[in-house]
Amino acid sequence: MRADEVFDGTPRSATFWWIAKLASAGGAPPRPGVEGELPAARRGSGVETYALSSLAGLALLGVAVRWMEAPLGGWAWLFAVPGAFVLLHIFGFSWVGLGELAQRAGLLPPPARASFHGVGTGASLALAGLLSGAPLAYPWLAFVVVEALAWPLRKIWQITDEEGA
Amino acid sequence: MEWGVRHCPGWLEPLFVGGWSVVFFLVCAPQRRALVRNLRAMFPDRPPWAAWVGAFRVVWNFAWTLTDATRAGGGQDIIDWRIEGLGAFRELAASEGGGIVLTAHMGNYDLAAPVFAGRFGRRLNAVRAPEREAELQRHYEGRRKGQESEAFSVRYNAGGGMLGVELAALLAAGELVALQGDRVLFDVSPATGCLFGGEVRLPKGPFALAMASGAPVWPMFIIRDGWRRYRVRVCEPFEMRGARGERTRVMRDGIATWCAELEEVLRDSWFQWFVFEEVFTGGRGGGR
Repeated sequence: MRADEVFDGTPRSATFWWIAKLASAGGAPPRPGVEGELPAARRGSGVETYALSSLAGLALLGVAVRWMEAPLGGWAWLFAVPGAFVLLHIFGFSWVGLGELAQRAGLLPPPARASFHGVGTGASLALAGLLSGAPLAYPWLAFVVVEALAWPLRKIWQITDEEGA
Repeated sequence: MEWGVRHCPGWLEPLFVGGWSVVFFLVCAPQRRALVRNLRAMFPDRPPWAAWVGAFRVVWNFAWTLTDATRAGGGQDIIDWRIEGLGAFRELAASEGGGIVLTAHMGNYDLAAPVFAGRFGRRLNAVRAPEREAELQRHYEGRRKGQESEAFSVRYNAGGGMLGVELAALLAAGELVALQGDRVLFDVSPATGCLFGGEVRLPKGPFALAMASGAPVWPMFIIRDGWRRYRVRVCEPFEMRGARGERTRVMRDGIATWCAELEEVLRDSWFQWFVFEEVFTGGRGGGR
C-alpha cells in the first residue's frame, strides 16, 4: 500500500483504487464553513458502500448459481447475473415492504427503518448463502458474522468507557 | 420505484443502479444509438467500442443522478457540493438586475438550483421542458412544487409562445432565469453551433432572450464528481448586445462563446452529458 497517497480519506492501494475511483473521484471532501464548499450531513463513505456492495453482489451470484444449478446444470452460470438481479429485488423489496408495514403498525420508529432494511436484507442473504452452501457467498457470511459479533462488543466497550469516565 | 430508491439500504445502491443501467442500456435502443453517434462525433479518433462503453457510462451516471435526486428530494442531506469558479459565483450573487443562467443537461441540474438559489439575493426561475408522458409530468410537477420557495420557482416550456414574453418580464424585474442550452426538444426553434468541430443543433430561445433583454449570460454546469458528490462550475458571464444591423453576428458570437464553454466541460465530463437525441447534424466546422 502506498500510504503517502490518500484519496478521500482512504489510503490508496491497488485493491481499492478502482473502488475509490468509482466511489468518489474529485479530490478532498468539502469542509464545513468554507465558502464554496457545502458538505452533506449524512453522505456516508463511498468506499465502504462499494466494498459492501461488491461482497453482497458476490453472495447473490453464489446463491443464484446454486439455486439454478439443479434445474439448469452448467447453464446456471449463463443466467447467474440476471438471476442474482432478480434475487436482489426479492430480498431488497421484501424487507422494504416489511419495514413499511412495521412502521405503519407502529412497531418500527422511522429512524430505525434504514437499519431494519439493511440488517434484514443482509441477514436473509447470509442465510440463503449458508443454506445453499454457495462458496461465493462465504465472504458475505464472514462479514455478517463479524458484524454480528462486533456490534455488541462495541456496545459493551462503549458502556465500559462511559462508566470508566 | 422512487419509494424503493428512498428506502433501499445504501450499500445495495450500486447493485441496483448497475443492474438497472444495464437493463435500460439494452432496452432503450434509440437512446443508446443516439449516445453512440454523439460520442463518435465528439471523439472520432477513438475506436468504435469506446463509444459503446462510453454510452453505457452515460446511462450509469444518469442512473446515479436520478438516484441521488430521489434521495435528496425526499429530504435526505446526502450530497456534497463544491463550487468551482467562486469569483464568478460571487459576482453573480452580488450583481443586480436580471441575468440568464445557461446550463446543460449534466449532473444534477434539478437538484442544484433549489440548493443554491437562496444565495443569489433574488428569485431564480428554472425553465424546463415538460416530460414526454403526461403522467410523468404530473408526478415531477408535484415533486418540484415541494422544492419551490421565494428564492426558486420552476416554469415549463409547454408551448403557446408566451414563455419568452414572461421570461423577458422576469429579467426586466431583476430576476434570474435558468435555461438549458444544449438540447432541442419538441417544437423549440433550433440554432446551429459548433462542438468538437461538428455542427450541432441548439435551442435558439436562450440566445434570443439574451439579445432581447440585454441581460448577461452566466454559463453554469453541474458536474457529478463521484459518489454523492457534485460540483457547480460557474463561468465568466458574456453579453449579447449589438446594433440592429448586427443581430446575426451577435447571435453567432453568443452561440460560439456558449459552445466553447460547453466543449471545455464536455472534454473532461463527456460521460455525463445526458442528451439522448442525436445533436450532431453531420456537417463539420459549423458555427452559424
